[in-house]
Amino acid sequence: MAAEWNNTNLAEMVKMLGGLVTQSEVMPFVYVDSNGYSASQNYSRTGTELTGYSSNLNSSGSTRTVSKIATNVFSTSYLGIIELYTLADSWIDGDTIRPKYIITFTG
Amino acid sequence: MATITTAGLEYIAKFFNDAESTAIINKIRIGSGITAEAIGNTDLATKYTDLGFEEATASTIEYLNTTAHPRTLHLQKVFTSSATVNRSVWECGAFTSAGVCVMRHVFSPYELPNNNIVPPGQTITIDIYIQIDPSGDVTYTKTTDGTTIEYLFEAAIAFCASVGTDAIDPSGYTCQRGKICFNGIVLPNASPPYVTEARGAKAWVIKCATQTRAEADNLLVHQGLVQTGASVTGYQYATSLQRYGTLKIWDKTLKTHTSYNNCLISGPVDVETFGTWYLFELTIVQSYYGDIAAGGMS
Repeated sequence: MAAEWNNTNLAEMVKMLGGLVTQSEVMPFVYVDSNGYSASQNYSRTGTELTGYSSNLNSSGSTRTVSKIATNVFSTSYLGIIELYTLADSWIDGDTIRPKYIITFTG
Repeated sequence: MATITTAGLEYIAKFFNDAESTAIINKIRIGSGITAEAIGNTDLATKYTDLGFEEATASTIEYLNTTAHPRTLHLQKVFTSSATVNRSVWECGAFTSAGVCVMRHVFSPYELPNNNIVPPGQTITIDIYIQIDPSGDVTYTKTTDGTTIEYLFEAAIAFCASVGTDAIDPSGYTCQRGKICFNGIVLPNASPPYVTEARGAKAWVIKCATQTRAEADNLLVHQGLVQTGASVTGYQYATSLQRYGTLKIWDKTLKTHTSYNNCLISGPVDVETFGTWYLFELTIVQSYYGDIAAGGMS
């Protein structure tokens, strides 16, 4: 599977820059079915490069199935700008899933 | 195209980095500088700061998703010159509410109406378009380290910008009662015009005199090499790198101006001095073909 751009949702970013919708950071998410998780977020920036990740521990006592990894922005809801629909990866109890992005802004 | 600056890209990165910056892109500046645009620009080269041309908040900030402007932020501002002399506009830029220069554009000759000259009291509309695009594919890497599974996306987001303007309709320029004007600029001490008629258009030779050199210069910025001829249907055409203007001649009988659109000042125009006077003769050629209908009463 390949990670894909979502151009429709990418447009939300330019709307934010013009103050047309509420500002949001770029957020790393892991999904189980339609439930998204983004715990212990960590963000940093160097020049025009953004790095962000979240650390999501499975403490449910059972194995979960990862359905999607996404880099989101929040407009009226969480919108994926980069999305990876996984091949039903297992998320074993006690394991940590770390979705991470490195995004560079260019001219 | 216009240039997105490094400072602008860094501002964008800050904006999406946990609200490191909360400024939005909503300001437009215009200026007269012609230094080439570069990614290192942090301001206009020579920005205007007064008389209606100072930095202004865009009156229109909207999102466009059209064929011409996909995923685009559009800013528009109409600047009205309250100066008493012509002002040239050679550059513009989009800025954040905190003053960061996001993009800059230097206009080419003839890119703006009236060859980038804005006469006193006239307006110029600046439209800036900032577009977002994915830049290439997303690189995806999955790694496992003990009990931690990392899914890494590496990607680039590109911004580009362009500038558009609304053309000034020269037929809307007003002219002083009893005077002859070209694009609203009075021909000083104009002689009665010597008129040549052609099919669908005319040409005028008008002698002018002034003791103020600027009055001559205000007209001469519109001069250019003009090619004239007749089309296959016999109508007179006139072409030039200059934009068409409007000649308004006062009609003493009708007590109003008669407007002639699609006119060009044929250059070069020689300016002679006589004592404290500047004397020059304008040849103004009308084209049957042009931007708007050839003419009428005003």
